[in-house]
Amino acid sequence: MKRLLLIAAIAFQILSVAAIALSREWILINGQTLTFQTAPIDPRDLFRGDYVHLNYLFSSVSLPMLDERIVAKGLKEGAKVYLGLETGPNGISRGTRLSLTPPSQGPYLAGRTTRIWPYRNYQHQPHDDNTRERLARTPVEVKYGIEQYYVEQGQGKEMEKIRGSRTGFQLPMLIHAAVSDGGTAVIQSFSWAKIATKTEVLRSPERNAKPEAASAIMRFTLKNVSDTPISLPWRSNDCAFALQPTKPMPETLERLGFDRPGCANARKETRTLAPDQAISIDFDLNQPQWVVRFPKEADKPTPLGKLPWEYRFRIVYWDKAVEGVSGSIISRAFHGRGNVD
Amino acid sequence: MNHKHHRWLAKQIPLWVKDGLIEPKQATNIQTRYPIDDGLSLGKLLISAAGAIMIGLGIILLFAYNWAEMSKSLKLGVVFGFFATAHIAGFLAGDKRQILSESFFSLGTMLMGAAIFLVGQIYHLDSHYPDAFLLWSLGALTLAWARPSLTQAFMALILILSWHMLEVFDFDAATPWALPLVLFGVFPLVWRLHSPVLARFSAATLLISLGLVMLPQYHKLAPITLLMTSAALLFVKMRVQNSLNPAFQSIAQQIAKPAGLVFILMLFLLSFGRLVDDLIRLGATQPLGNPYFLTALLFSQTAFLWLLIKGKPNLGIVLVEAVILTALPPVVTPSLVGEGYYGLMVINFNLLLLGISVFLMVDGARQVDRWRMVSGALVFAALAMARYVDLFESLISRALVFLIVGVSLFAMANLYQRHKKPEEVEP
Repeated sequence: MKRLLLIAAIAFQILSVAAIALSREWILINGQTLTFQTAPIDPRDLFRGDYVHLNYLFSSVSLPMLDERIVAKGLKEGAKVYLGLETGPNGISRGTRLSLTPPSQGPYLAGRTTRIWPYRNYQHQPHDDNTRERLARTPVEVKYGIEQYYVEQGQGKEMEKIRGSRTGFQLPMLIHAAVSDGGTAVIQSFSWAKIATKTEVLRSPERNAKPEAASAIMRFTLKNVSDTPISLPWRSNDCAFALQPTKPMPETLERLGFDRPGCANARKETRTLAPDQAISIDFDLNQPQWVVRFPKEADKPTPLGKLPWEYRFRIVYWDKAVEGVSGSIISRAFHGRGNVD
Repeated sequence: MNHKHHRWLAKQIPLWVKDGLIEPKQATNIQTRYPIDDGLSLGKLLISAAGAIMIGLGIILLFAYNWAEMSKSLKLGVVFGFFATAHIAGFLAGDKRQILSESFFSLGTMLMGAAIFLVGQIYHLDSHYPDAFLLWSLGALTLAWARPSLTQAFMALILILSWHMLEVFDFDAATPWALPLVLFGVFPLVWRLHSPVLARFSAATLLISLGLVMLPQYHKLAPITLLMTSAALLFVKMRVQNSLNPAFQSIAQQIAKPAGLVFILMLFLLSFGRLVDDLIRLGATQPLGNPYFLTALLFSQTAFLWLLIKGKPNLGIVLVEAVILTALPPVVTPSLVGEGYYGLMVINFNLLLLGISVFLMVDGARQVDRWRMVSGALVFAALAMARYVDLFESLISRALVFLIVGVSLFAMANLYQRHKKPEEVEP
């Protein structure tokens, strides 16, 4: 009897760990392979050596992407949530809608909420414009279980170098993961994007500048870090680029997007970047094309430099597939006055 | 009887026969009464287990390097191979070579941890990582019961505590499951293994876990809850110390050691007044709706009544109960307690701590219990130092504090020496 108990205890130890490995192996073999774009930051786990912490654009989910049930009933910290996915240009999957139940169609990721304020007590708050405005400014933070990538000790620092620094070129990481029918993702591998980007402030506005000079001039530089030339579809008047708010501000999307005024008849051309060649584009945010109405009932346009501090933007290149380019080309987030995150 | 004592007895017995103190037949009877204990030596066992744990830690860190040249299947094969081999070796060593078997099983359980972390590394798992420690502790606990094994029980205790600390400090999660795991998973092993050492560490883990459970949400209630729980353990120890067989008496004594330490520590903290202020501001709703506080209250008072009815509580126990009765009014009946109670409560706690320290010193000296006396002296000195900083400003009064403490400690040392002299017959 004692021997049987002992064998059962040993079997429990071995099988409980083996079950974790086998469940992940099953997903790797049978799951749907998707690619997510991210930028890595710092490493080291006490027991598992170096790792790269991964942060995705859908790690913070803003109000427009939240299911109505979440908004109406509030959220608990650690609640299980599901992020619907769609595959965009250049094969990168992005989040569409975060809900409390799995979407009926398409692939999705299962995750748990980590920061939910102010959704925790939302059901007890007055459902007025102020509350909604506060919600709009505060995204829900979600972890999907694919936020760490373990590497051989010492390689974490190497990857940091490739990723680049705050002030220099940054190269996004593309994470290839197998996603099961239940939304569990297991990282298969990673690759680097081919175009590194640098976001700089060329000129910040004076403290008490007039509205027409209240915004910064930003420089966005693209560099080909691959071994082959890359041809980028281009449009005159900077129309291959758009400004994307990091938090919802729907009325600005049309004004600052690829089809903003002045871009309908933009001339189409091609720019070719040789290996290691860079190209810089300056964005004078004081130009009339970069103003918004804020609040939306305002009678005069507002320059981006006069927006509240929480409204930040990214420069985004093209929203269509570009041959030879994997992933999206986006800048770091910045405020209209030029403060880069 | 161990080898050292047996050697001493073997030298003494012929001398006693020669001096006519005992008859040769009595000498034979004494020799057969005290055989050498060739059973499992705790010291050897712990050293072997520590060796196995070090090897296991080494292997965990070796794999933590995350060799890029090793394929996934090779890494998994190596770690699961080591893991299974260690357990099979432990199994084959069997009961005849207990220390070897115990060491292999300890290594196997350490390799379970290595395997968990390696699987996490290979599949880039980013789940709730304290769960890894929970699974690991369950593995150790299962083996502790199946063998039964002291080393595995210790490993389970350490892992349960690590899991609980990670939950509380890294995730601010007041998970209550560590308490039943220790209470129902480890404590029964103390009885099964007849191990006083495990009893002491289990009681310490239980009290630490209770503090951890209360830290995130009920930290203001934690001192009084710990105070009552540790007091309850002291009452139980007093009640059972003369009524059980020697093995269980020893277990009860060991359980009381961390309980006494925690009780004194909490009382010392309460003597400062800030925690008393927190207690007075709590109101009755939170404490009376708190399951940990209510359980501790019921446990301590039932144990005290049991002691009162069935035994004769000594002065120390009366002082411990007086501490609880002093702490209860602002928590249980706050409406009956005015602002003025704050000062009374702080003075009471100080006087009771002083009384307990003097009791420990005097009782320790009379019983010739060195540790009890030293503990009392330390508490006495700590209390004097704490109040020296708080209360006394003039050099004369400060000098007086030192003089009183110094004279008291001399007096206690003298009392201890006087009681010790007649018993100075040691091998």
